[in-house]
Amino acid sequence: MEKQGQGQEGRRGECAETCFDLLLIEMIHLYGGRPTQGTTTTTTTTTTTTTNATEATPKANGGGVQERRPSGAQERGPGEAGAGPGGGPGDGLESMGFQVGCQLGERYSKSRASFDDTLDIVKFLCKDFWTEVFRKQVDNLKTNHRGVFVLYDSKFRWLRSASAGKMMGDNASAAAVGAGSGGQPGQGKTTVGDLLRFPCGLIRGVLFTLGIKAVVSADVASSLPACSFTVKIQQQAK
Amino acid sequence: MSSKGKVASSVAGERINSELFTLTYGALVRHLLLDLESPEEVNKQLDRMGQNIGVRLVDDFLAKTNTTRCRNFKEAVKTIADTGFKMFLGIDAKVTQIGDKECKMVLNDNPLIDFVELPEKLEPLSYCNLLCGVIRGALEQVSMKVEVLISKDPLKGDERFELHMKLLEYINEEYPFADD
Repeated sequence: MEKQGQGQEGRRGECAETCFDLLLIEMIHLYGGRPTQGTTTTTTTTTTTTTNATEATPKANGGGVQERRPSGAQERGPGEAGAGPGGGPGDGLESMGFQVGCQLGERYSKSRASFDDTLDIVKFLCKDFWTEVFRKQVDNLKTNHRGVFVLYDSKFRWLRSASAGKMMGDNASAAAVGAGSGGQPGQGKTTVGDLLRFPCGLIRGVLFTLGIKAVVSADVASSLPACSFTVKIQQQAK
Repeated sequence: MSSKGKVASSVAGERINSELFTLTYGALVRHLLLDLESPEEVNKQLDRMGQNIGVRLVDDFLAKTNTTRCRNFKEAVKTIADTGFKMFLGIDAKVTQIGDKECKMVLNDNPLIDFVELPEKLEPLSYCNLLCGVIRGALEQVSMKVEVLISKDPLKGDERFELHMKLLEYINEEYPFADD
């Protein structure tokens, strides 16, 4: 609401949310519920550190002048990014989220002052980024001061029309899913976990762009539109 | 902008910044290119996904607008151009040529191709093929079988984005008579 008209070619039009929702559903259909084509690896959490080494180098956003990648950012040689070693096509949703997260993180942060520390970056994620993408802030942020943050959103936007019933498939109680752990793939059913793999990647991408390597996992243990994301930081910003 | 267009964007429900949509679509295309063997396969996949989207989108469209029944291809095309594009993608579209069975439609802007450049080796890729699928899927739900092609594409050097639509046939509605 407060950020309109900022940036030159930045925010252009708007589109109906339906479009995005339907696109996401199709993506989940294609990539969710099963290990994707190619290697049937369930990607391990370690991939998060190695994936996309070819992507933008982590930068702590200092100095004000940020490298922008306005054009060609998406289509720059499909071979070179996206599938880092091990990241591969194993978890398409997560790595697509990651890519989008990197790009959005950069766009949304380009006009603000540099970040002081990790907490500052996480706050940016919870407030500014969350507001841009999910139109509300994270409701609750907890940390153990040792690199683990838990972001709790009581009405996570992308779960607003998800139901806990059949969707959860055979793992009704165990809806926890790790960003890199591939969830519980293989049943050919869409799970809530699948719905959350994209946003997990998104969060990881934003943090990565801002200089933090982290592992993100999501959990919907409580009632449904509520959801919490656990961010374990592996390498802090300088 | 037509008055219909204004109505359309107000009834379309929640709006989001199209950046998220654009970038997500970009990520999807990129992934498909990695996963599938050839750009042609990607085109097919995008078309398929588009069709699924179109089938659902038309419901959303009919629910939110007060569109009366489109009796023929011409009317359907006009509705898509005047209301559909405005409502969903927030852009204006203009029908440039129209006949009983064929038409051309120009989009003034196309959010899908923001920030995109295609390298030369991806010449066969029809980046916005999703759109074709969407229109095809949507019209199929209202009893029209059409073929949609991208006839001009700024990604390939054209000035405007243009869609070429061809009516193949009107599908007779089939009722599930058999379930007694």
